[in-house]
Amino acid sequence: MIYRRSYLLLLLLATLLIIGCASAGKEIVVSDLNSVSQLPKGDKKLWDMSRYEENTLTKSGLIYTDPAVSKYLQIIGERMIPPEYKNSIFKFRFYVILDPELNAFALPNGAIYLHVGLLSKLEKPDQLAFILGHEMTHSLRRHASRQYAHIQNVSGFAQFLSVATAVGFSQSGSNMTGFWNSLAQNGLALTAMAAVSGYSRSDEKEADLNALDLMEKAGYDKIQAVRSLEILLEEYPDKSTTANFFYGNHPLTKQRLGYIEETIGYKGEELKPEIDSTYEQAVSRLKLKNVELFVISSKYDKALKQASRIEVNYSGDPTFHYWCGEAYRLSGSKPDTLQLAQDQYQKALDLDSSFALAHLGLAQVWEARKDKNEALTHYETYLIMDPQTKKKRYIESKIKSLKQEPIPQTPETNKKQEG
Amino acid sequence: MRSRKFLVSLCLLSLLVFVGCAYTTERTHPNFSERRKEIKSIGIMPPEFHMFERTATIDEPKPELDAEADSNIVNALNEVLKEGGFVSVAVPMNDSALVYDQELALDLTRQKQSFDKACDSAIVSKKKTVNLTVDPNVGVFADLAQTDYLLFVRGMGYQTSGGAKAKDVAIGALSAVLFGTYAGSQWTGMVLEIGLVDANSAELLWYNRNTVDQSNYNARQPKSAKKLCKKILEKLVKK
Repeated sequence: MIYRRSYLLLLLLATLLIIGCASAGKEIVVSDLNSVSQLPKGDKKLWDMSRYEENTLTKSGLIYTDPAVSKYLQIIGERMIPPEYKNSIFKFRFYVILDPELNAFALPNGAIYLHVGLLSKLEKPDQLAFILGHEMTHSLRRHASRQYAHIQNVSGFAQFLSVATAVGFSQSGSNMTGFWNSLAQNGLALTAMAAVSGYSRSDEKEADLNALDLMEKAGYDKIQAVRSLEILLEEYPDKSTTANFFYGNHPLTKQRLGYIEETIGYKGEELKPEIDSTYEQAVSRLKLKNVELFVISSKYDKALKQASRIEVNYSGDPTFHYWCGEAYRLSGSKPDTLQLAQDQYQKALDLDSSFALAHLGLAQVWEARKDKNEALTHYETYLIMDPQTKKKRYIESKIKSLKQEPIPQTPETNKKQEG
Repeated sequence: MRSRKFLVSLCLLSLLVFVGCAYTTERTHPNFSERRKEIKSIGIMPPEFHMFERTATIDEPKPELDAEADSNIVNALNEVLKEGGFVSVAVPMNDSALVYDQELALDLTRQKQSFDKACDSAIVSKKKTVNLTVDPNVGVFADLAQTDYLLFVRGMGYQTSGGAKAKDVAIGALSAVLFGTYAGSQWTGMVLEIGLVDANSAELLWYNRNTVDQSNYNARQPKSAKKLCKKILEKLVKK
């Protein structure tokens, strides 16, 4: 009996030794640190990884570069930094990332990313301040360090039990596409953790509540935190079975609304959208960009929904009509969607006859309708109007192959030939 | 007589099970064999190559190894293509250029994304011939390399240290003793995928994928990269 007990104890001890327990490290006061080298070893490693990932994201071309937007973000961000951190190792940088979904994330080194989709949906600087405060808290409170240690422990335990071979940073279940769906495979582990899987629910709650404190200190209207969550809820209604990918592991938005309203003592009605002219002006181009980004992400319904929201302001812009046309054309080759696409490209040309891309769209519509001659005319016009286009080789190849195709003998072409 | 027939059928079935079905990962465009004759020079796109250290707990990115693996693979592809009689050139591009030219950087990202999509479709396709395309802006890169054909490369390598291997074995043994199931160590090695694209039409002309175990691949060794590239390009360079 004694032997059996010692045997079991030995096994348990060995198990613990082998698996080990990754620790998030002792509590440190980050505001007191003035050099990265003073960080605990684990945090230092995350800091280096962050630097690499920030650099990779910059080189990906996925950062929206508009000095006016950058300046606007920097002003609000700077206002939200707590005074005790002004001279700390955190030099917050604010980036806009070319993605149409409502998301934001922070890397441990203070690089904060806001998606175009989120910025174009918010209504007031106070709402932006809440989001920034939330993300800044993740960096300041070293949530990544805790989460990284947690992932190491959990996946080690899972492997030990032979339940899963590699939990790693799996993003299964995420509804994000393209680049965002392959972050971990692209070596961007921290970005994947921050942008997709999120932190623990308690860390997310801490980030929400601390953001309210920061808003108060910076003089922002805390009630707007409620409205920013309502905006989220409008876009991604809570479903008990799946977590919203925005703030991946966040408590459900309704729960968040509950504790935020309780904290600020707000018992009012649902807030109505309010337009803030300075905010609108700062993000106005992003709203149009968001239509384009939805089209690029193959989310044509969302693109058209976004387009209908901003139509009042952009109906005189040929780019707006071009992207609407693209959304219709790519959503399917049915005669009605092709007609809608054609109408949009035509509107773009009516507004600006030198808008070359509209001819490309029209060429593709006619090609889908198998009208070779019309397609050729528009492809050729496009090349004449934009001889330096990046698609030059592609268009030339299209023209060549269309010219090689036999002309389908329809009554109409017969008449033309006779004529 | 009936039992003899049964025995023969059983033997045949067992043979099939043991031998397995020859599986090819190569996919080609329907007109590939004709178009292959026109290919004289090939540009090599900047590869998307990532190395991970597979520990007992997580797959940790090893960016410091990425660059070395990248350059070894590009050099190896270059050599193998040249040996196959092609003029081969790496698309000239460096990291600092991408920081300053965000438009080019975004074009490159979109190309890689479209190649990812094409690869995913090629893998799942049951047919050996596929009709897939990449982003139409691919001509930008063909212009840089002054060629009509581009080779896209993506890969992921998983390696493990001796310590991690020992830990895996120990965990496996313990789990076998305690739970009666063996949590075996994870696979380590390299998965490489290559696609040849007609930069004028943006069509994927040829695609292949190869997987090697860690024992047969070392990201730091040019020799190892050459062996891998020779194998994966075997059918493309065959005259």
